[in-house]
Amino acid sequence: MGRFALRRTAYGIVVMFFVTAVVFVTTRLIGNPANTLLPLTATQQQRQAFSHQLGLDRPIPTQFVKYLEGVAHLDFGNSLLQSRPALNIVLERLPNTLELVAFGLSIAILLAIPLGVLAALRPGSLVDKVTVVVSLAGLSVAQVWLGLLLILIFAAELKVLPSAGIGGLEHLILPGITLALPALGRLVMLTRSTMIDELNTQYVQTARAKGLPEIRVVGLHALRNAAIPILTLAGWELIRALAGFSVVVETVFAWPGVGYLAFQSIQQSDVILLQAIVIVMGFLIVAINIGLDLVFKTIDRRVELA
Amino acid sequence: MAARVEASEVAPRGGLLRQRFADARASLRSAGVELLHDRAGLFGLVVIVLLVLVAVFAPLIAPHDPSAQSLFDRLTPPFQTWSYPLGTDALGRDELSRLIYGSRVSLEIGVLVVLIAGTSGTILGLLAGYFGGKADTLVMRIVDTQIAFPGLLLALLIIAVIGPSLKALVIVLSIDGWMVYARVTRGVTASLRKAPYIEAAEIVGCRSRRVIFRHVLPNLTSPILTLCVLEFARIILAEAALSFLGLGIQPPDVSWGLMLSDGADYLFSAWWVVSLPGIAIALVVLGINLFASWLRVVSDPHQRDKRFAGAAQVVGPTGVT
Repeated sequence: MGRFALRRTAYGIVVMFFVTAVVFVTTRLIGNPANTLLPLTATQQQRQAFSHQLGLDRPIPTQFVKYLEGVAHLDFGNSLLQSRPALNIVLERLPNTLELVAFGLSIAILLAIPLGVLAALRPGSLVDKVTVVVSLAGLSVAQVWLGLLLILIFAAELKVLPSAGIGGLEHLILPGITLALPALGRLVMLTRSTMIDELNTQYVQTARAKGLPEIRVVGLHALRNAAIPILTLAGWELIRALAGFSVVVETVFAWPGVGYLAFQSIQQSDVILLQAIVIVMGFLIVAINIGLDLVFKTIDRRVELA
Repeated sequence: MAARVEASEVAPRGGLLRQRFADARASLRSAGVELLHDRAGLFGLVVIVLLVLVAVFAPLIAPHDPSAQSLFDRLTPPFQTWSYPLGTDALGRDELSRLIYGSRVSLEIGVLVVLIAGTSGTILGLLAGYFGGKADTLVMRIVDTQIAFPGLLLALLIIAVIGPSLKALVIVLSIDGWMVYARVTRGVTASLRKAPYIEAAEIVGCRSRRVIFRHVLPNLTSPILTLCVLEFARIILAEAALSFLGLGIQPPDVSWGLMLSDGADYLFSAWWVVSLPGIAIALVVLGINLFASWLRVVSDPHQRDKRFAGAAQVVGPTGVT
C-alpha cells in the first residue's frame, strides 16, 4: 500500500511536469503578451523593454527552466494587470470554488444514489420512468442555459433567490443546482444500470433465497459491488467540475471563484494569471486522482492499478 | 461475426458480394423493426435526421437572412406575427432563421471533431492493443496523463492564446476527446488478442494489417459507433459553453452557443432569446443520447441477449456514461 501510494505520487509529479510544460509552450511559443497587452501605439522600444522585463527575449529553453524553477518555488510570477503574485490571487478565490463544487456535488451524489437504486429495484415502473426522464433531461441541457433559466424563474419572475454574487446559503442554491443537475443525471443513469446488473446476479439471488431482508440484499450486497463504477464517475464529475464546468457556472452567476477568475483573465489577456490558474487546478486534480486511487484500492482489493 | 465473414469467403467472388448485400439488408431490416419497438430510440433518430436535413437545406428553409437586422421589429415575442414566427432578438434578427443556420455549426463541429478524434483515437488504441509491449505502454501512458490533465481549462488557455475560431474549437475539442476512443479500442483489442480466431488468422499467415482490419475492426463497430454518437452530444454542449464564454464561434457567424450568450444580455426583458436556443440544444442532445442507448442495445450482441432474456428488465435507455 505504501509503495503503491509512493508510485502514484511519483507519477503525479510527472503529470504535473507535463501540465507545466504544455502551459508554458502554449503561452510562450504561440503568443507574445507584448503584442496582446501593450496598446497598438506602443513603440518598438517599448515592446522590447516589456519583453525584457518579462524575460521573453531569452532563449526558450532558458525561459522554461526559469519558469519551472519558479513553479517549484510556488512563484508563478506577477499578474500582468493586478501586479501582485498570481498565486495569491488564485488562492484567495479557491475556497469559493471549493465551496460551490462541494455543495453542488453533494446534492448530486446524495440524491443520485437513492434515486438510481429506487429506479433499479423496479425497472419499467412509474418511479423508474419518471427518474429516467428527469435524469436524461438533466444531462441533456446546456449548463449555461440551465443557469440562465433558473435565474429567469427564481430571480426575475419569483424574486425569491439572488441571481448573482456570493453571500449566505441563498446565493449558493442556484449555482449549486446548475452544477449538480447534469452530474445528477449521469450518476442516476449509471447507478440504475449498474444496480440492475448487480440485482440480476446469482449471489443476489442466493442472498434472497437465504431469506435475507431485501434492504440488506440491496444495501449491503448489491450496492457495495456497484460502488466502484459509481464512485469512479463521481470522481470524474468532481474533476470535471473543478476543471471546466465551474468556469461556466461561476461566469453565469458571477460567483467569485477560480472559474470566474479564469474567464476574467482571458478577457483581460492576463496570461500569467491564467497560467497560474491552470497549474494550480492541475495540481489539485492530480492530488484528487491519487486520493481516489488510494480510496479504491482500500475498498476493493480487486482493483489493479499501474 | 468474423467467423461468418470467413465462411462466406469460400464462395466465388460474385456470390460473396450478393451474400454481403443480403446480410446487410437483413440486418438493416431487423434494426428497423427494433427501432419501431423502441419509441425513445425512434425519437432520437427522428431528431438526428431532422437536424441533418435542417442544416443541409438551411438556405431553402430559413425565411430570413440570419444576420439581417430590422431594428423596427426588435425583440418581437414569438407567435406574434407570421413574418417572425419565433420572434426576433435585440437587433431584430429572425430567431427561427438563426436557429436553422445555427444547426449547421453544431453539425459541422460535431462531425469534424468526431472524425478527427475518433479516427486518431481508434488507430492509436488498435496499435496499442494489438501490438502490446512498448507501443501499448507509451499510448496508454499518454492517455492516462491526458485524462489527469485539467482538460477544459487547458482548452480555454489554448483558445485564449491562439484566438477563438471554428478551427480552434475543432482542434481543441479533438485534442480533448481522442483518449476515450483509444481507451475503449485498446480494451476491446487487447481482450480479442487471445481469441482463437485471431490466433488462427495469424497462424495461417495473415499480415497484421489484414488481421486488424478484417478480424479486429468489425468487433469495434458497436462500441466505437455508440461512443461517436455520445461524443457528438458532448461536443454540442461544449460548443455552447465555449461560445457563451466568448471562446467559440465569433459574431458574424451564427451558433446556438452564441445565441445563448446574446440572450443572456436580455434575460430580464426577452425570455425567448435565451430560451429558444437552449431548447434546441436540449432536444438535440436528448435525441442523440436516446439514439445512442438504442444503438448500443441493438448493435452489441451481449446487450441484445440481455434485453431479450430479461424482457422487462431493461426497458428504455440503460444508461449514458
